Amino acid sequence: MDELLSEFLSETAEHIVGVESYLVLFEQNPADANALTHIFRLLHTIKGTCGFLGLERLRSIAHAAETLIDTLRNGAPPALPAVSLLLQAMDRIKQLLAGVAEHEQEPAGDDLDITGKIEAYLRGELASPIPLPPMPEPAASPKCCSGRAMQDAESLMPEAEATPAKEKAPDTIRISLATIQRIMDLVSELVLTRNQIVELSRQHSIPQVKAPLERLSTVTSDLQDAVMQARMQPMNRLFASIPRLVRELSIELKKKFSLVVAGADTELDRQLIEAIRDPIAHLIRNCADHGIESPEDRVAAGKPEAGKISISAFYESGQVHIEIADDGRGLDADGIRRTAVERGLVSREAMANMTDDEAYRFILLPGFSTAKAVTQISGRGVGMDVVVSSVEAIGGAVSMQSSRGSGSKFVLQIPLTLAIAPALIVKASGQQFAVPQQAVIEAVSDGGLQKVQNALVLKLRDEIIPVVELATVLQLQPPSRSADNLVVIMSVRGKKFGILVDDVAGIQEIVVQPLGRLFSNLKLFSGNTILGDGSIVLILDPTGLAEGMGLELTSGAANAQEGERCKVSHASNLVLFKAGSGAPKVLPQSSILRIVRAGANALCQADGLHLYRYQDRLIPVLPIEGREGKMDAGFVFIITGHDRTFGLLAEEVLDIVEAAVEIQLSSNSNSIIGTMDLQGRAVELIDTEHYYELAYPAALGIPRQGRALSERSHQLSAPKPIAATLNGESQSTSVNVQQ
Amino acid sequence: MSHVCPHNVSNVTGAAASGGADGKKTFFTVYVGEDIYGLDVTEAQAIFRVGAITPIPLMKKEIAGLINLRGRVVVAVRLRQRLGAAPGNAPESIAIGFERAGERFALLADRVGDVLALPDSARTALPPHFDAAQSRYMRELYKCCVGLIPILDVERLLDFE
Repeated sequence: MDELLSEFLSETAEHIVGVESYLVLFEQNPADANALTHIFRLLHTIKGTCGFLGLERLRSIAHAAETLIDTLRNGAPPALPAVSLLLQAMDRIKQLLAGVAEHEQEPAGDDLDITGKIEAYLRGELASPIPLPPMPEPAASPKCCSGRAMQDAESLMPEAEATPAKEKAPDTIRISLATIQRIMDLVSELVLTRNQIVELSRQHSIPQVKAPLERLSTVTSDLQDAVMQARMQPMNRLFASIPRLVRELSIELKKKFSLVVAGADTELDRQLIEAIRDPIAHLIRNCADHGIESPEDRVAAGKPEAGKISISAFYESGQVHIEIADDGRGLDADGIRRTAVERGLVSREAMANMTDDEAYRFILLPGFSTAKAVTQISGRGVGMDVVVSSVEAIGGAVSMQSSRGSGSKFVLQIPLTLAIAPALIVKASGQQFAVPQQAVIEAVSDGGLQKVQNALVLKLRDEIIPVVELATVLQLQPPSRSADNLVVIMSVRGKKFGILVDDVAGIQEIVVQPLGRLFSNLKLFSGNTILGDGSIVLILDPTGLAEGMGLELTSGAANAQEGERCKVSHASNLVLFKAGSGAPKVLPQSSILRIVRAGANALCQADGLHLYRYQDRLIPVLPIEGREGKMDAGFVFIITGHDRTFGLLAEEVLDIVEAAVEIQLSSNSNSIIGTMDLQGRAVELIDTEHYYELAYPAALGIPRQGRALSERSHQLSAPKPIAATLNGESQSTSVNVQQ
Repeated sequence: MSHVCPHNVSNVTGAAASGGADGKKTFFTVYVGEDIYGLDVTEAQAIFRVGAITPIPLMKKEIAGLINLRGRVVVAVRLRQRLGAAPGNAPESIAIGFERAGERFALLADRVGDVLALPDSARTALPPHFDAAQSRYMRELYKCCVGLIPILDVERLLDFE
């Protein structure tokens, strides 16, 4: 595209944003002559450039808008329709600019609909051009001004042209992003070369080289900083468009807002500013729609009628924090709890133990909405998850605070730049990989690692964390397992997982380079980097790893299932027992009618089933999966359900423990509901339903054991509690067993 | 006929100027095992000794990994596997660098042979009975003193889609 034209496009786009935010300012404070002067000047510049480039449609709209502004400048009473008309004109200009950007010429057509409206308004014929809330005061006849306005506009030209030049106090040049990127790449290479030389000189130690090398080192670092600085842009790039957004929300929602913007001069990498544009707009919509109450409710609650939305950006610990806060009703913790339980995301019991802050996290799940009415603006339950994922995609994080009745606050933590990031260098099978540090929580020794259901889990403090061996995931040569392996714990969207690595070689600032197109299918890697010693390492993508492990990141489906299966048992006493070589298993005590020690000859076999004589009846006995060897002596758990009784054979009863059933990892196996943490041990919760189906395959048809059994078991439906006595603090009990 | 010392890291684009003017094209030859192939010097950017290669897990065997060539990341492609030959005993020692669609690649070979300037008249089309899997990556044949030399089609060799 013509350089002149592309410069015009980017410049005009900025001017439009400026006009819009000044218009909103002007509307809030019609006495603000300064705002009008700015708008007039910006419009005039747009008009001038359009005329120069022969963009006739753009010029005529700018001209009409300018004329309208001029009448206002000359004392015509300001009115909402005028501002709305001007905003419409800006929208049309934006549309036309998009057309010009695409085809390098104006799209065909005319804009009489807009210029006509403006002219009609100027003639006083158009009181309210668009259906809007009532104007503060009816527009008094601006007719008298229109003629003069035209002349004034012309006579003002020299002044208007002179002032923008004065405004551009700091000398600037426009550089294409590609040029900056090229410089960045070169600096990155320079940094790497510098690192290599430093490494070499450390090995060979040449005294003469030392001083110049140090200078080279500092100059390189400074150069790097300077180039990074060149990519930085003030947040105002983004904040300038917010006043207009809030104005439109105000009209649509029929609420009043006061907007406070702070820290617009905070600088951030341009690419990142663009990446958070939509998330921020979404959060503001949420504040306006959900957060802030209707004016009546606000007054009733003793708050000012206008809801306050504040946006601020500031630096904190090497990051840019952006806070979006409102003084509305706050998040409805109870509503969130109710919805979460209704949707089966969590059991009622687990929910009762959740703090409000934990409950708030549910709104970050896809499709989660407590809104009763879906409005144009929000409430469809799409969005917060998108906000979280787009912020996380650039290495940021979202957190929130809320207090009932006094508002909520969302904080986005954004890294200063994408290009350079600290990373953990890990080793697997002798090969090095980089893990972005922002995802890493900690690295711990593999002491607490256990193998459950053929998968690794790490018991860390009170959590059970799924772990994979990096070498296995990457299909590397099996590593020689030494004693001091490490587990790197990461967190992606609140889900923790770990990778087992041979070693952590250290932390380095790495220059992230994307992998080529050839590798676009490799979800486990997000890029590569060259380390100080010149070696290339691949950068692991934590999200890809988590997804590869089957951690559900994008939907609440797994949680829902987990929650439902959790609700099967409400028991707090759990029988801990051993069956097979795997992890210990548990069953809720309430699901067991009786535990019987059975000698080898107590079990017999008939009709393809193992049977046990229990209270003059034969009941089917099933071995618990994982149990090896033949069916012989052990403990039979007598279980009734659906009016039938059957037995489960375990090897040894270990303990009875009082604990809440909280499944931490759900299982793919039918026989196991999932893995849970029981007093520091990873244990498998047995699914009795599964065994019931095995024992009575024709559960709905003819009972295998005949009517007599079902009648008998009916009599037993009020089971005697298992003979057990609580044993002091350990909360363990001994089990009385029948011989 | 000029010779390229395989121990030199040489930029061959300069040599390209000598070809073409008298209807001759300049090729350099590479060995993959005992097989000899020709590559158009005008297409190659550099010939260099293979240093450390960072393997990329989960990638197809033809991709040896990434090489750091003076601060730039180059994707190394094993000619041997690409041409369907059995893996060799020793790792490849020579790489020929190319740029394709803004990305850098290197073809790994066992050694570099002579540079040949061959007239158009020495060119013949591929015979139809060549193994399709291999001839897919050959553009044409040239007759010369050492026999027939297949000229590799770099574009296709580096196209993995």
